Amino acid sequence: MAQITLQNLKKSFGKTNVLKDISLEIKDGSFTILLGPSGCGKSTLLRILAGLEEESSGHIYMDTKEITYNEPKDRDIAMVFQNYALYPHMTVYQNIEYGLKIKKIPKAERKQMVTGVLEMVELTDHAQKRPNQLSGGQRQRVALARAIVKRPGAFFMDEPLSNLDAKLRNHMRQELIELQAQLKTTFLYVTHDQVEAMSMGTHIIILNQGEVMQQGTPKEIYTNPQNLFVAQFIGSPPVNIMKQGDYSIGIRPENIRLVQAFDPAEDTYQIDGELLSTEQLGGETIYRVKTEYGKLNVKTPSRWDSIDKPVQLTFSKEDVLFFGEDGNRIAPQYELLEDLRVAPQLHFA
Amino acid sequence: MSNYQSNSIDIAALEPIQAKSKRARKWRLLTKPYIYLAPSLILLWIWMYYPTLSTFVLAFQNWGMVPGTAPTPVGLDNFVRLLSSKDFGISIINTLFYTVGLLPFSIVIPLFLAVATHKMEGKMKNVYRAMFFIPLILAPVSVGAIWRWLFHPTNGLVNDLLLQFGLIDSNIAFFSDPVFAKWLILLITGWKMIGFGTILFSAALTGISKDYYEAISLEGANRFQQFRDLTLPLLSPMIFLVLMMSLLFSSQWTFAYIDILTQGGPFGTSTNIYYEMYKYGFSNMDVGLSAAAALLFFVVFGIIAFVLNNITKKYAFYDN
Repeated sequence: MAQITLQNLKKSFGKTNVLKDISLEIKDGSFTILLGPSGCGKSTLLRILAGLEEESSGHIYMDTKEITYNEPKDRDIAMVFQNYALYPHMTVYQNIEYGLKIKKIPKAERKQMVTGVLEMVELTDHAQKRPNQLSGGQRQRVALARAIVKRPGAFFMDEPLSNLDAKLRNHMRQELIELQAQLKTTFLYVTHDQVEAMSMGTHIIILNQGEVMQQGTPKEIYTNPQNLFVAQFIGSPPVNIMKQGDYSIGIRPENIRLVQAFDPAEDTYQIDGELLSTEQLGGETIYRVKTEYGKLNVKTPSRWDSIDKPVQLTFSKEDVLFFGEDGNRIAPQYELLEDLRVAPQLHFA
Repeated sequence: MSNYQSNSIDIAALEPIQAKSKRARKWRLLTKPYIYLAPSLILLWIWMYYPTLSTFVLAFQNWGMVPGTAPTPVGLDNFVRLLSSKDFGISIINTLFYTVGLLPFSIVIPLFLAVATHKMEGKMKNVYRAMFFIPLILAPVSVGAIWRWLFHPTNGLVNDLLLQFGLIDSNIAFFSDPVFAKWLILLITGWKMIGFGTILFSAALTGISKDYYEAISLEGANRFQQFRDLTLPLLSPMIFLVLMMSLLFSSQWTFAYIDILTQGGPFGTSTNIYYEMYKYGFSNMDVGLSAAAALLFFVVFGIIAFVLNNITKKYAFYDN
């Protein structure tokens, strides 16, 4: 169990600043996600925390103890790699046992620990197999078991699910959530997949170009994005951005309603558009609509009926996000929506 | 609307396949591979299989390679002469000496060098690798000439240095000395072959994922444990390959230096089976004896190769 604190952490490769002055707290027992597009520095950050890479400057603390200059093995962490890095010449059992052997834990105790962990990840029957005899999901579980058996203060995971197929990934996501709930240990999890981040994290840190864009609970990140980057990065399809002078206004696709005809009593704002395409996702339907403010995505619970090309869109002003010219979130400026107000005379004419 | 898709094409309207074109395809598939293989098969037959087969036949015949004469069958006579000859006994012992003696140069030192230089970065890595590799690509004859000059009995650099440092009182004729000759041949061959193993081990090392080392260092393994528990098992296929090549080819590798520096002497103390074979055939013009030696060589080394191959299959680990 450990809280990890980062103070003014910087990293540059030559002239490229990969991490620009990062200060963070990763809370004890949290399932913290480092989320960002590829090249944002999230993996580098994780590797620096693990001691596999050297920071350029800054400090790392585990609880109150500084570990900046500690060797990886002296950091009380366990890491799960993207391609698992299971020792290919060892059996599942030996893979899990190896770290304990190095720590000179007596054989009887080792056996007890390994057997326990094997049971936990439901691989008891596969103990004597080599990694290449296992499926992707099983290898993933061996990698987890190898980390769990060390009983570390924190688990580091670098995109551990990205080599699995979609169905297995969904399954492993749930397993990881349950595992974390069971172990109550800090998980630090790197991913570029917002679905993983939203579904698993108790805390999300969004990185872009080596800077923290925002951090908070999934709910805070989704409903209250602090800037355009976060708003656009989270959500599928991404938030619709409409330019209004120097300002941007954003509305999430699920907050736009597709209506047959405007009802001035209910609808305050109107956008006329032309339907470009329809995506049926089974549980929901996504419409792509061309408007004078650009192409907008609209997400509705699934609708199987066919819709006429000219469509009308509306929304409530509470759902609108406002961004200043620097891309940062600003207080609501409802006057920016004046252009979109339903003009009653058009409809009563 | 039906839930099932029905065929919209009328099967009867499809053109039936011509029997002729079906046969043509079969013929094409049968002949094409052999046409492509033919050039190398022909060359292999001329340079490898035919000579090998005729060696088998010549081993039981007597022939002086004189034009116009024909080999005469002599049964097992060649083998009897071979096994009772004193030279042959020495050559077998020396072959063992060279074969075992080369292992440090083909495996142990290269393994150390490859691992030591693996983590190097930048230009120095290539400089180091070139240093080990250059002797390998030098022509054996020029290597022989250089070493002969260095160890020259009267005006060689080595004698000169030893005299200057007062380690010896008078010049040593290294290549005429029964002890030095053998060891020098071994050292020169070893020096030349270090690059061979180094380059192969270095290549094999780059094939091992960096992740394994990160994982194992996170588990607290020190460099020796990393080498023992990770590098060695993962390099095992390459180690067995180099071991096999070293065992099988060491007589061949030493041949050039024996020929250039000592001609097997003094008193046959530096010869090996390969050089003896050459001597029987091309100095003594005793083709039968040479072929008999070659046949024995072929069988013994064939057995070694077979055994090693099975050991490799059993113990080497292939990471696929």
